[in-house]
Parts: sequence; C-alpha cells; structure tokens
Amino acid sequence: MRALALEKRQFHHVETSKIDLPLMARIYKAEGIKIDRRNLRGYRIRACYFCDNNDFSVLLKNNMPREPKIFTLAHELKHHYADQTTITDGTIRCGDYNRNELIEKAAEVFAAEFIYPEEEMLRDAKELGIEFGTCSAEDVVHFKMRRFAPISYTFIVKRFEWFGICERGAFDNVQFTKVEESVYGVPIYKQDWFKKRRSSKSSLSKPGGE
Amino acid sequence: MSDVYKYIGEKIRELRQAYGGSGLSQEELAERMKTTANTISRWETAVYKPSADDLLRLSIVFGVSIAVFFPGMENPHLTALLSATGDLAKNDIEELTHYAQFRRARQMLKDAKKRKRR
Repeated sequence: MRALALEKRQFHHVETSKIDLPLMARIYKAEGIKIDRRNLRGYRIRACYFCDNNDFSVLLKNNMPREPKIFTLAHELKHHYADQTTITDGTIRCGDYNRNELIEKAAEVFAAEFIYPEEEMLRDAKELGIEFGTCSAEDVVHFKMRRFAPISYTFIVKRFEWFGICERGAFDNVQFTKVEESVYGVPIYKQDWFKKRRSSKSSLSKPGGE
Repeated sequence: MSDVYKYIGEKIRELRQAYGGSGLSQEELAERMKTTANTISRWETAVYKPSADDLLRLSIVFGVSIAVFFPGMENPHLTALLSATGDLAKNDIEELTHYAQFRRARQMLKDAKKRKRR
C-alpha cells in the first residue's frame, strides 16, 4: 500500500507541503472522480466511494475540518485504485464495516503515506529534535505548528506511536488544542474582541441593521 | 430524450399543484428554489432541462425522493465503500440511499443527453 501511495504521489507530482483541498480536487478531476459535497446529518460517515457503469464519485461530508477532509479524500483514492473490482462484483457492501476492515485499514495506510510519507515525517521529526522516548505534548504541538503537512494531531500521535517516538496511548488524555493555546496563545478568532467585532459587523450587514 | 424531460416536467407540475393540499404557484416554487417563475414554467414544459442538482433541490422542497422524477427507478444497490466509524445507523443508510439515487438520476440525464446527440 505504501508503495502504491508513493507511486501515485509521483504520478501526480505531489509535494507534501503543497497538499491542500484544491490539489486533492485537481487529482480527483484527473482521475475522473466526481466529488459531491454534502452536509451529512449522521456523524458516522465521512465519505463514500461509489463506482458503477464507468461512473466514479465520492460523497464527501462537507461539514468537517480541513485536515480530516484531505485525509478522507486520500483514503477514498485508495478505493479507486485498488478496490473497484471488489465493489462492482458485490463482494463487499456498505455497512459491512467489519468485513471491510482490512480494506479500510489498507486505505488508512495509503492515505497516510500519500499525504505524508513516513521517511519524510521521520526526517522532519529529527530536524525538530524530537527523539525516541522523550516526546512531550508540546513537541507534538510544535510539530503541527511547523505545518510540514496538512495533518491533524491524531495523525501525528498515531505516526509517532508507530515510529516508537512515544508509547502507545501516551497522549490519550491530552487536549492538544489547549496545549497549543497555552504555548502559542489563543487564536484571534477565539478572542473576545474579535468575536464582538464580528458579531457587530454581522448585525450591521443584516437587513434592518443600522 | 424529450420523453425523460417531458416526464420530469409533468412530475414537477403534478407535485407543485398537489403541494400541501392547496398547491404552490410557479412564483412560490421559484422563490423556494431561488430561481425564476419562467424557469419553473420551462422545466414543466420540457423547454429547459433541469440538472440532477436542480432535481435534488426540487425533491427536498417537495419532500420526496429524487427517484419520483424517473419512471421505474429502483432503489440502487449500495455498491460502495465508505469511511465510517462503525456500523451504520438507519439515518446513515437513508442518506447513502438518497445519494445513490442522485447518482442514478445524474447518469440517466447524461444518457438521455447522449441519445439526443446521436
């Protein structure tokens, strides 16, 4: 799976630091896959890959943050490359989550490698001085804030666990957003003065506002 | 192709006139669809061809499935793979079925256009 991900990265000239939603959309277009964005009510489905009659499309949950959206799009790409036959001949079906588990895990591996190859991430971690066994929550935050790749805290922690940089479950109870705010400060959009200004601006722009 | 769009047009008119018991005028439907009454009129007479997205919005306004605009559209099989966090709830399956019907509708409109070109 990792080899396939690296091959496809090369094919689409993907550079880790340049991965964003428009780039993913361009890759999908080049592959002939339509992306249908919907605000899904359920919380379980992130995306769904459909293929039949030479028609390929992905239903994407629009109401989720940017990083998981990019990851999900990469995940669905794997289904396009590797699972079309299994889908069209009816071997697997929606909702058979346990039966699909292996396929899904492979898609997770593909997506992770597609977005941020292991070797590259290990090199970046070393560059930041993050060492085996000494990784703290602040290190994870510093790593994310360097924006090497559009990845979530969950992604970083899982990879660090995989590399052996930290122990499995070591950050289970850590709220990284709070750590981030304590290290880097509260982001502008969360600050009171900004919220007040935004609400006063929006009340002015409403019909009937002064 | 005109048959497909003629059927769709008749269905739009039927649903509009039956809406809520007293029906909707073309202007009222146009307002809900954020389009013009002229467009609604032309959809109904199959002069304009509504897209799959238009039909989806119409189906939401009327509270019906998009399948009603296509004669004999069965519930498409959910031959798909999804990123979900566990077994699906009834709501999730419903959303996926609606999406599968939307895809089928889009394919049928595409086929209708292809036939016309030939």
